[in-house]
Formats: sequence, structure tokens, C-alpha cells
Amino acid sequence: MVNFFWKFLGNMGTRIFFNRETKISLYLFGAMHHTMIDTVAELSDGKYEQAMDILIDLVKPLSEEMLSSILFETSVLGITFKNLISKFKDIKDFPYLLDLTLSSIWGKKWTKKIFNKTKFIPASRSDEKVDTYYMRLKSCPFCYPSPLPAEKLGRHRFGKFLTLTIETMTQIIQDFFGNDLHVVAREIHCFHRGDLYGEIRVWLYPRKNLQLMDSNRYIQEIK
Amino acid sequence: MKIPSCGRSAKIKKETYFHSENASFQSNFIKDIENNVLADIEYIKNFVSSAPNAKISSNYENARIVKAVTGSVYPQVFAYIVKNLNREEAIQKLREMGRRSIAVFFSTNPKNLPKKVKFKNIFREIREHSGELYRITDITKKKGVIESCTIKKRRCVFCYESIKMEDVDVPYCYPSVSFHQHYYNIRSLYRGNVKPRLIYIDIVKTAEHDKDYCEYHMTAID
Repeated sequence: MVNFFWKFLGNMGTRIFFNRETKISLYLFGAMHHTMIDTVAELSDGKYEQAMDILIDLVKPLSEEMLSSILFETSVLGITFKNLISKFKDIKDFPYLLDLTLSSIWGKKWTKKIFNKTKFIPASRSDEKVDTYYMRLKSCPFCYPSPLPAEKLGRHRFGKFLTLTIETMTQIIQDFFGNDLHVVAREIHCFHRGDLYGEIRVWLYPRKNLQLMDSNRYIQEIK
Repeated sequence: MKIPSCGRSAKIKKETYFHSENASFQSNFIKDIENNVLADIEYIKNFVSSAPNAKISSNYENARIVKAVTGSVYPQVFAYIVKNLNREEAIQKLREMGRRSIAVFFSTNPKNLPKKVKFKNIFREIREHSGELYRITDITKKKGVIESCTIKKRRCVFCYESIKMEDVDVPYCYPSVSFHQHYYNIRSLYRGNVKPRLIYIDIVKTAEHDKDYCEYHMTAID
């Protein structure tokens, strides 16, 4: 387990990073998120599911590039984020690292208000027989501005881009640790579908054992 | 008549299309803008969220997200729109994106709508939400009412820290000019008795990827 010093340094570093970066309003971002989906759907003859597929294909490569640059090129107080990440190699420390990375994007205060702390379920206790993380959302700035009925999105969920960010972030960090894992994340509970809370689940599948994914009903049901 | 559009860092013609001598074209153009704004106000008043459980509390109005995250999303969507439509249609679509964003924004955050509107305060409010920096110059007034001005803007939501897209000859900023214009027009028509009543903003110069500023030209149309 990581000692107090590195956790303290991590917290301070993310605070400084968040304060010095250019930021935009979450309300405005939520509004833009909805409008973007709407506009691309219009260009796809009103098919929202197809529009989400297009958007994912467009956004994924750039989000990988952007997250890699945040994770590996950022340095605060002369210490690189990459250096800090290397101290959290233990799989049990990973929820803390995930919260820390989210804090650097949303800010500590808002991460606490939007997300509950990330929880870890070891493979032995997980239904899917692989190491799993889950994070619950207390509220959602993306779902609320949408007047769109959930059924229109088909197998997609409205928070797909948030899920994609978390999935990409986890994959990049696992690749950096040299773990031969394939990361899959799905939003299994969504306010947009009438649930009382949001939940994003992240599964770490060993690349040698990818057939385990076939028995995961969430991966089959949700895109 | 064609809608004026500009290339990268190109100065736009001063005679924009609402200065046309064709009076019926002018009045139709103003009517179109007014109808759009009134439709947006109606949308804001009747807004029903499809996810009421996700209600973002009023405490969240100061919530911020790092711009680098959004900067990686927009250029790709922008390029997709521009490549799938011709230039004029793409500009219209991008302007519409900005207009709709403001309608959605106000429907979830309507607290500012009934407040008193002052021209300069509008930009202060937008700055609080977008993190942009403004300087308003070349203000011309007629009987104490602003007739036109130039808006110089640093840290543009769309241009600043965005990834450069090759082979795209449409400024990134169109949603931004549109949401500035509609932010003012919605506030103005919602409150009433505001002068100027409606404004139109167009791009003069866009910074895109360098750390220069974007420049817009605002004209009062009613």
C-alpha cells in the first residue's frame, strides 16, 4: 500500500494542476454534450444509436492521446504525474489513483459531489470472475439537460463519453504498469433510464482469458 | 444573398448582409432571429428533463471541468460536420449548435434569465461560464445605444488548446459566436425593454490553434 507521503503529494499535485488549467462550466459542457449528440443524429437521419457509434469512433483516438498527455507529460512541483502513478502499482491502490485522476479533471470538490469513492471487488468475489472496480454517481450533469427519451439511444447510455474516458484512463495506466489486461467499462445504472443513481463498472480482463467477456451480461446488453 | 463567411484570420467585409439595401431581406432576417429566440424561450419555459433523478443542485453552478478534455472532443465533431455538408450548410449547422447549447444551458440554469441585462455584464457572465477573456473595443453609439462594437477574445472555448484539423477551411468559432449572440438575445427578449433589442455577431478573425485572440463584430439589428 502507498504511504501517506505519496497520497499527500498526489492530492496536492492534482489541486495545483486543476487550479492552473483553463476550465469551462460543467453546465455549459453538459449542454454542449447534448447538442453534439443531437447534431450528429440529425446528420444520421435521426438515428441516435448510429450517431453515438459515429461519435465514439471520432472521439476515442483523440481522448487516448489527450489522456496520455495529461497522465504522462504533466508535471507539478517538478514531480511528473507519471512518477506518481508508478507508486500506485498495487491493484488495491488503483481506486485511489482513479479518484485522483478524476479529481485532476473535475476538481476535488466536484469529484466528491458527483462520485462516491471508487470500490474494488477482487476476482474471487466478483460475479464476472475478474477484478472489478465500480463508481457510483450521486448526480449527473450530462443526463439532466437532456429532454431525449432513453430508448432513442438504443444500447448506448447517455454517459457513454464519461465511461469511455474512465475506460481509456484505466487502460493507459494498466498498459503503463505492464499488466496484460483488457479494460472494459460500462455504465450499468443511468439516471437517464430512471435509476436513482448512476454506476460505472470497470472490468480488468486478462488478455489470455478474453472469452470470460462472453459471460458478462452487461457487456452483451450495453454498448 | 450569401451569408458572409471568412477564411482563417481573414478580415470580413464591413457590409454584412443585414446592411443590405434590400429592406424586405433585412426584415425577414430580423424576424428569423427573433422567431428563433422566442422558440428558445418557449423551450426553456417548458423544459422537462428526461432524467429528473439526475437533478444537478444549484451548488453545481460553479462546477468546472478542465478544458483539455473538451478540446479533444469538439474538433473531431466539427470536422465531421464540415466534411459532411457544404461550407454554407456547415456554418449554419455550427451556428445552430451554439444556439441550441444556450437554450439547453438556460433550461437547466434559468436563474440568470430574469436579472437585469447590461451589455457588458452579458460578457462578464459568459466569461464566468467559459473561462474566456474579453476586451470590447470600437464601440459606436447612436443616441446612447450601442450600435456596433468589436469583441476581442482570448482563450476561446473552441479554438484555445484545440487540436489542429487539416484541410478544414471553416473557423472553429461559429458555435461560439452563435452562443454569444443568443445568450444576449434570449436575455434581452426574456427581460424586455432592453436596448439594443437584438444583436448579430460574426467572426472577423479567429485564433484557431495559435495563442492569439479571436475577433468578432457585433451589430445591433433591432
